[in-house]
Formats: sequence, C-alpha cells, structure tokens
Amino acid sequence: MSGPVRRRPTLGRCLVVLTAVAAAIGLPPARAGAAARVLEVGPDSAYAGLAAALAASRDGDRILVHGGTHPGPVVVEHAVSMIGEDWPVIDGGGKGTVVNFKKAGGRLEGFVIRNSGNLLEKEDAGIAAEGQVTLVGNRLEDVLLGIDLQTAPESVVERNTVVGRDLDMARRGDAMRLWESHRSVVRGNRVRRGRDLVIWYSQNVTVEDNVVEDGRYGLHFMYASGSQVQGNYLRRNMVAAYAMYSRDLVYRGNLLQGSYGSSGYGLALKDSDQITVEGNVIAGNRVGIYLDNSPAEEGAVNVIADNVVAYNDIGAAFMPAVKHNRLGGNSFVDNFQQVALVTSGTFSGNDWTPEGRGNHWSNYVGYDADGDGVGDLPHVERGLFASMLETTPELRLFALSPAQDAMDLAARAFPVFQPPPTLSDAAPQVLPAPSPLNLPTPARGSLVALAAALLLGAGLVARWGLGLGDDGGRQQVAAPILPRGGAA
Amino acid sequence: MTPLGVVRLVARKEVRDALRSRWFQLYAAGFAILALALSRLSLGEATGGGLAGFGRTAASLVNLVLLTVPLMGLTLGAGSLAGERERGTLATLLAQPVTRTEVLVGKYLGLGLALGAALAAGFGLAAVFIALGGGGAAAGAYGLLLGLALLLALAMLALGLVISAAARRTTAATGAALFTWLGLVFLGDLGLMGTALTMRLPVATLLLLAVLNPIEAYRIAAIQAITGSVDVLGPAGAYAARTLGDALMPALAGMLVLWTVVPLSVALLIFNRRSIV
Repeated sequence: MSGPVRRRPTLGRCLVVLTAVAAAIGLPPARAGAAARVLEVGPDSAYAGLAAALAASRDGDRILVHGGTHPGPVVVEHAVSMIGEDWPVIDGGGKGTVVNFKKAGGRLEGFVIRNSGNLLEKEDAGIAAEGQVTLVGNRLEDVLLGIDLQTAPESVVERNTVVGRDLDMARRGDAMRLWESHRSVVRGNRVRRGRDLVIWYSQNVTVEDNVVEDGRYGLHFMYASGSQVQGNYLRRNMVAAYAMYSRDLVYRGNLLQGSYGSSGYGLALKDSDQITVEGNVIAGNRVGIYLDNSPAEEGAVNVIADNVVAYNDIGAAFMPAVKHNRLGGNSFVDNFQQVALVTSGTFSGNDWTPEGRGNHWSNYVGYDADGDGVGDLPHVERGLFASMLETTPELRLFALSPAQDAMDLAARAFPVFQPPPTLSDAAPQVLPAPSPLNLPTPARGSLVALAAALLLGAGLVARWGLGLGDDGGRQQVAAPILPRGGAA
Repeated sequence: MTPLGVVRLVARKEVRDALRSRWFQLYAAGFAILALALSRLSLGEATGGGLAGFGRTAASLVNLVLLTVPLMGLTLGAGSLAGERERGTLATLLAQPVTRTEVLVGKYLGLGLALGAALAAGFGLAAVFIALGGGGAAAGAYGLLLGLALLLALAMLALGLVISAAARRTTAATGAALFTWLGLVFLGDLGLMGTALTMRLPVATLLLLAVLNPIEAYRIAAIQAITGSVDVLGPAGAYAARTLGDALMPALAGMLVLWTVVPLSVALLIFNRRSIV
C-alpha cells in the first residue's frame, strides 16, 4: 500500500492545534505569540483616543475601545480588530467616509458610526472596505451610504443596524453595497430608510435573516450568481427583491411585502436564469411576481414553487414571450388580478402544473368531487374586465367597483362575450398552502376600542330615538303635537 | 318653540319612526349580517398570519357599502316625505306652528342619525370579528372608512329627499329611487367604461367624469383610506395622485359634501314651493 502514512494524533499535536485556534480567536497575546497585541483605548487606558491606538497598531492587533466619542474619518491601514465596549462613537464630522478599511483582515464590532459626508459622487459612506472585513453588531446612523464593500471577498456583515439619512430617494445612498465580494455573508442586519441593498458582480453571497424597510430596492442582485437568500423581511420598499442578469439564486422563506409605486414588485427577475423561488410570502405589493425575459438563456428554467402570493394588486405579471418558468404549489390568494400579461399574449410556454402539481387559486370556480384536494376541473384565468385592461389600462380606474363585478358575471352568463383563457392549471389545489412564515398578529387594542365606541354610539342613538333617554319627559309633552308617521 | 327645538323634535321623531320601520330594520340587520359574514369570510383564508385581516375585509366592506348604502339612503329618503304626504300625516304636521324648512331639516337629520347608527353598528360588529379573528387593523383607517360611508349615506339621503319632495306618490318615489340607484351604481360606470373604450378618453377626463358620481368618489377615497394610495387604479389613479397629492382625500370628501348640500337645497326649494297634498 503506497501513499502517505496516516499518523495517529498525539496529545502534543492537539496542543499545537489548540494554541493556533486560541490565537485565531484572540486569546491573550502572551499565550498566542508576540505578533498580536491588545491596545486599550479609554480614559484610564494606555491610549486616550482611537486614532493614537491605530497609529501604533500592527497587523493582527486588537484594539479594545471603552466608550467615548472618537473623531473620524478613520482610515484603517492595518489588519486590526477594533472591538467597542459601551458603544463607542466614531463621528465622521460630516466629511467623507467615517471608517475606511484599506487592508484586508480588519474587524469592527460594537461601534456607533455616524455623520458621514453627504456627497454621492464621492460615495461618502459609514463604513467602506477595500478587502476582506468583518463587521458585527455596529449601529450606523445619519450616513449617506451605509456599508460599502469594494472587492472584499469573504467578508462578514452581521447584526448591524443601518438607518439612512432622511433625504429624498434620489439623494440617498445605498444602505449596503457589495462589489466583487464573493462568498460574503450578510446576516441578521436591520436596514431602514436607505436606497438599495445591492450586490454587484459577486458570487455565492449568503443573505439571511435581514430586515430591510422603507428603501428603494430591498435586495438587488446585479450580475451576481450562486447566492442563497433566506429568511429576509423586505417591507415597504419600492421593490422588495430584484435580480438582473443573475443566475443560480435561491430565494427561500422570505417575506416580500408592501412594495409600492410604479415598479412596486415583490419579486422581479430580469434576464435571470436558473432561479429558485420557494416558500416565500409575497403579499400586498403592487405586483407580486414580475418576470421580464427570464429565463433568458437557451435551456434555462426558473422554479417558482410553494409561495403564498396574496393581496397584491397583480399576483404575477409577465412581460410578453416570457417562457420556461415552472410554477407549482403556489397559493394565489385574493390578488385583485391574479395574473396579468403586460400588453398582451398568453402564458403558454410556462408550466403551471409542473409534475402534475398545480397551484391554489382563490378565484377557482370548479369543485373537488372525489375529495383528493385537487380540483376536478382545470383552473382557467380569464375575465372580460381583465382582458379589457390589456388594451385599455385606464379602465383600471373601475377596479373593485360593482360595475366590474357585474360585467364579469355577465360574461360568465353569456359566453359569447367571454375572452379566451390566458392560462390553464390542470391540477388546481382546492385549499391554500399554510403560510411558510410565522408572522405576528398585529395589535388590535385600538380596533376593539373603536368597535366598542361605534356600538355604544349606535346604541345611544337608538335609545334617544325611542325616548328611553333621560329627557323622556319632554318627549311625552311633545307627543300630542306630532302625529305618528313613518312606514311602520 | 325655537326653530332648533323644532328641528330636534322632528329629528327625534324621525329616528323613532325609522327604528320602528320594518324597512329600516331589514336594512340595518341585513347590513350588519353581511358585514359580519364578509369579515368572517375574508379572515377564513388567512394564509399569511397578520397579512390577511384588514386590507381584504375592508375591501369587501367597501364593496358592501357601495351596493347597500346608496340603496338604503335613496329609498329611505324617497319614502320619507312621500309616505307621510300619502298618509296625510304631513298635512297635520305642517298645521303645527312649524316651518317647512324646519320639518325637512329635522327629517333629514333624524334619518341621517338613524342611518349612521345602522352603519356604526355594522362596522362595529365587523371590527369585533376582525379583532377576534386575529386580523389587526389600523383603527384610524377603519374609522376613516366609516366616516366616508357616512358621508355617502348623507349624500344619498339628500338625493332621496329630492325625489321624495318632487314625487306625487310613494310608489313613484320608490321607483325613482331604485332607478337612481341602478344608474349611479351600475349604469354610470358601465357607460363610462364603454365611452372610454370607444372614444379613447384622456385619463384626466375619465377621472373627472368618474368622480362626478358620488359613489365613485366614495370608492376612490375608500381605496386611498385602505391602501394608503390609489396605485391599484392604474393610470387614472397615478394621475390623481400626481395632480392632487395629499389633497386627493379632501377633494373626494368635498365632492360627497357637495352632493349633500346641493340636493338638500333643491329638496328644500321644491318642498317649500309645492302644495302638500
């Protein structure tokens, strides 16, 4: 038998490994070796300010900062870890980028970063990095761009809070931007009032458990591939999740809610291939799912399965000639318009019953006689009003009106007016799928109070009218001059 | 007795008569039951936890209001003067030291109060069900929805009184009220849709023609109240949001008030001029 002889681990070898691990996670430098030191910053410590400690630092050092406010901008020239205790503040003074990592291997944890410059053309940010960086548990406030990673592969951005400056959307900066930062992890961050959370030219990025609200693009992939997007809540953005010119992305278990405006898409794909969208809740958007030339490549397929698509103005909107999407097991619940074609055409070329598994449609009018949970008649999408909208979109003004209902009803009664169906689902699910997300129930105390007030008000009017109130005496005096009227 | 005292007395009598009227009882009970059923149904498909609830329930409540409130307001208003005139009670009433304006205003306010109480009861019961069913709602938006429904009810009531003041007989008044209802709720919109399809009306014209109808004004305002925008109404909605912005809601409410004030004045004019028998 040839090849290297496998040696059994000895106690000594284990100790060597343990020491190396200890060095890596930053145990005291006396044990871990001479290279890594701990520099303390604070009123009673060796260094009075962060700048002094940084000037004295070498690669591998840890800088421990105890509270205080430290003036920025800060340029980090070495691969050092900066650990904040009691929320030390770095204040950019309204000029440039507050913290700028020039070398890979830096770390920033537990700081408050505030007051960056305000020039979009200079890309003034809270934190910028030009190499691998680890950012954990920081708070970024009043910054133009939030976190800006330029060619910083394998970076970690975890549990940070970014609140953008209160500006018009056009003057805001990106809350987070990853540029050529492959295999990075963006996890558990809270982002509010930014412009975009955008990932450019980066492969295999993990985006998990983030909350992004009140921005422009909640999560935007440009020319990116291989990313896992899981458990994110993207709410009240102009677009929740948009992928352009990207491939091999997996969206799973996300909440995409409340996107508004002319491009209010929950999930949008443009020229994107091999995308998997599974088990998401896509609710209350102008358009739930928007597909534009996706998949674009020959032989590529997108899989959109087991999502709840509910309460959107339009459940799914396809641009003309969109083909090769597989939609099965989704629940289309009470979207004002379940599916729509932008301009005209049909949904043919897309599979609405992949492997015999259809979707739930809340407007399904068939039945399930054999009780197997699958409707016995195919679900077809067609409506006179919807078909009129394709040619005359202004008629949408009459959405939710009794006249619209009357027209669709008439078209069903007199099939001569019935437009041809735009899609057919051969195995519609009778019941909606349970929600893949466990969402909290909103507060209802004020509603109960309002209900009580309304019922009380109605009761008081009735009491007054029926003469049971405290001025009943006057009613008796008045009664003789007023004859009994009304249509009793 | 002061004029205000007379108005108050007539209004109170009107509330009492309405509460005892079979028609009103039917309307109020029907509205409450339908509101309850709708809130129950729209919560039944609650697949998204906190997502369901208000938006959909409110949308179905709006649909209910669109159909029933104009019907209630128009027929109650139409039956009011015409009914009393036909039974002869109006002559007895006007033989008292009261003016016709006092009687009409009193009747209008009394009917408005009764109708408002019916709406409040229906909305209140639905709100209890929404809260019990786990759907939350912004109480402010819900209250706004009720306020708008009330404005619509008052406008329809005023229109009903015009019919009532002008009609010779109750049957004619009721018929006219039903026809007005049909026209406002269905025929107006359908006609406008047809016109838009054939004549390619500009968006601004279409919007203006639509909101001249008080029911349309209510519908657009209600959508704004529920969703916080009129995006769902497509290009016309976007045009309304762009040109009016925050003034959209006051403008639509103003249209409803206009539809109250003008018909009420017309009803007064007719009632004061016509012989009572």
